[in-house]
Amino acid sequence: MMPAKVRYAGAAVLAGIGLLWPVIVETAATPRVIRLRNVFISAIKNRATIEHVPFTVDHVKSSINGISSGAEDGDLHVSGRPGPFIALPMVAEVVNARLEKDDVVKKMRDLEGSSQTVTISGVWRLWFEHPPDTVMIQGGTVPKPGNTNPPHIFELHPITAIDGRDADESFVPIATYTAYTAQRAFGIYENLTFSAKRNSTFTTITSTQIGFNYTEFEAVLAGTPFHLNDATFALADIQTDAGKSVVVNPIRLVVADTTKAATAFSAKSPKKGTKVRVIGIPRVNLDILMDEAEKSPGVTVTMKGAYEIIVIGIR
Amino acid sequence: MTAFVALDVAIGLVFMYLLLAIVCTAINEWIASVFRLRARNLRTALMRLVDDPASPRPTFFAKLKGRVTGKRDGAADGERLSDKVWNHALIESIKDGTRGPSYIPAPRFVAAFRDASGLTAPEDEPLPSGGVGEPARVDPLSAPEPPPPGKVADDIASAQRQLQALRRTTAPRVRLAAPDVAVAAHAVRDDDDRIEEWFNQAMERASGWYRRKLLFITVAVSVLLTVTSNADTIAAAQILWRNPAVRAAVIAQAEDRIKKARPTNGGVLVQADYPDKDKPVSDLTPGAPEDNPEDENLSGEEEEPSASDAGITDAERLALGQIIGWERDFRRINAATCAARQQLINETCKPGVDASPACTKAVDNGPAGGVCVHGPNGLEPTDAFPRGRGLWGLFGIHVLGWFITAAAVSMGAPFWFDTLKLFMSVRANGKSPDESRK
Repeated sequence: MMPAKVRYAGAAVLAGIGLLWPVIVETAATPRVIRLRNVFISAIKNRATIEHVPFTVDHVKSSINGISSGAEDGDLHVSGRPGPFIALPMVAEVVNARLEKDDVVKKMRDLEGSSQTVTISGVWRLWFEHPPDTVMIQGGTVPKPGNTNPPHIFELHPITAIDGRDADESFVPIATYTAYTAQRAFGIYENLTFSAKRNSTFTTITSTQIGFNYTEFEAVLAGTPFHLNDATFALADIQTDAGKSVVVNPIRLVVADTTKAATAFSAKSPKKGTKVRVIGIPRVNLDILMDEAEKSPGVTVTMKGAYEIIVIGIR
Repeated sequence: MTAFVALDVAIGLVFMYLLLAIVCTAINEWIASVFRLRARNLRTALMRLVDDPASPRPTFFAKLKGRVTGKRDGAADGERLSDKVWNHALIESIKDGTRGPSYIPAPRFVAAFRDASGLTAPEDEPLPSGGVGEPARVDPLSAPEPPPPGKVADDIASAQRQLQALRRTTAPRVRLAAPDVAVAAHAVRDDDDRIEEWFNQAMERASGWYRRKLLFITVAVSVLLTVTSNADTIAAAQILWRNPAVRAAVIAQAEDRIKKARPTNGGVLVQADYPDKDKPVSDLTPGAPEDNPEDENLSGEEEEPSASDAGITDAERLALGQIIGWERDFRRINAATCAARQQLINETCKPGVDASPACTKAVDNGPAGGVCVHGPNGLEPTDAFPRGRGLWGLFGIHVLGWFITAAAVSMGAPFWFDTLKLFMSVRANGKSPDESRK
């Protein structure tokens, strides 16, 4: 027989969950909306990175994330205000921050709260991980964030350079970190829907809140890698360790040039059928989503599988 | 001149059919989504494909009876091959939570089917023996291990029979003499292709069932929509013919409508895919439609704030409201009621005489039920819902017009959009003399 206190505590917890359940479900399933300028989308959709972004650093997380699993990914979070090209609330993240030369992390810390504007480069990432409750519209003045993780949908993640200091070292697998398995992560990604409605100036993109940042999987290239702008793009079947495919159609991998991941990728002499073990993070595939939206201007198109994987490291 | 009016009336009617069909499509989609019609249809198709038809599943009522009486037929309720395929990890991963998938890619089905049925996968197949140039005897469709007991074994045997029958009906492929291994690989691939073909044929049939089911729903929704909105083709044509202002308003909206995207028969969920696996970029052509500086809308607000969920603007709804709806009929019925009440007032209330109780009662009763209001010329009818037997007469008046509208709406929004474009282009090429002078 359980002690009365334990029973009461258990009942209270269950009652609390029961009361909050509608809120939890509502929060998770509420469509989150971002409205991006078409010129912005066209400029970045087939690029890995955005370079030389004027960025005012407002907050730098006091410590680098620990490394184990989930959010303990060894990243260093920075929030701030970008220039007019991006014009969105955003964060920037240094992955594998412990590996980075001290001057990159030190530079970040020196800048905190200084309202100094520096140039920053990094892989752009649109992902509905920390979306606001309201519609996020690109343009205008970006408000000063209150902490290192304000509501945002846009990120530079990973950073490739800050104020002239390269952060390319970070594009390697995170040692001792346990990423989400292919089955777990892609089971979620494949069920996500992204809606887009394009008008003459803006495209409205809608999805639901989603996490599952880092995933590790086997990628079997479905075609020859294709170099464009600042990246190599390759379509790949995503498989579990047991070799089972977990995606409906091949997913686009994005390997940013000049990174360690790019070096490791080219060392595999990649071609159709090549198998590589990848650690990556997902982002919305603006290329394929916009292609569908452009076919039906003014009409909302809804897609599954409209995401791609930023390659962080290759084993 | 009359020909131009007739063309405008025809355009007005087509415009009406188009808008109603768009609403009908939205309702259909809602029904399909709420009742998970696509996923259910796919599940049924899968059961009919892989389960042994000789041992059908218990019906809903048989299951219910079993539960009520407590006599459950274990074999009847047992797992079937289709359940194993449906619950396979490869299919689970494309389900949306508890919702089943709307479609299954054929290669995924092949892999799930092979796993679920225990039929050997190509990689596991032992290499065959056979001379060079002689087609190797490989039969990956035979189970290497004893099949599981119960209905699943029957299902596997049934599936094998179907596949073997399919093999006999397929023309043999001409092959060049090749080493054993290559021939074996060919044979295995052929069998995968055959399972895919078997599955694809079933999916084509399932698609046909779904279309028929959707057609039935479409017709039902069209009828309901037509009657509730009183979209009577004959009455609408009369209004358009007699009233140039209404005609002009409808034509103006029709002109705007054809500038919009062609509607589809339902909001199809698109599965992202690059057709060319060597070119993972959608469009390399520079200068794709970009910002129009003259159209700059830096606020980010939607350009059509009045667009409703059904894709119809407020202006379109207003224009449509001028040719369909119950208001005119209600007003006509109420006019008769008001005339009778006015007559009673006239009879009981004499000019120059103090109002009698009967007169006061008749005057007070004038606006009863909201069907009349006191106006400068006596009681005037409103478009409030009338009472009385007059309502039943409306069905007789409108039934033919409703029938025409419902039949037209069932033909779908894309058809009426194309027709509207055609009529509008005819109209643009031969403008009426009145319009040309403007």
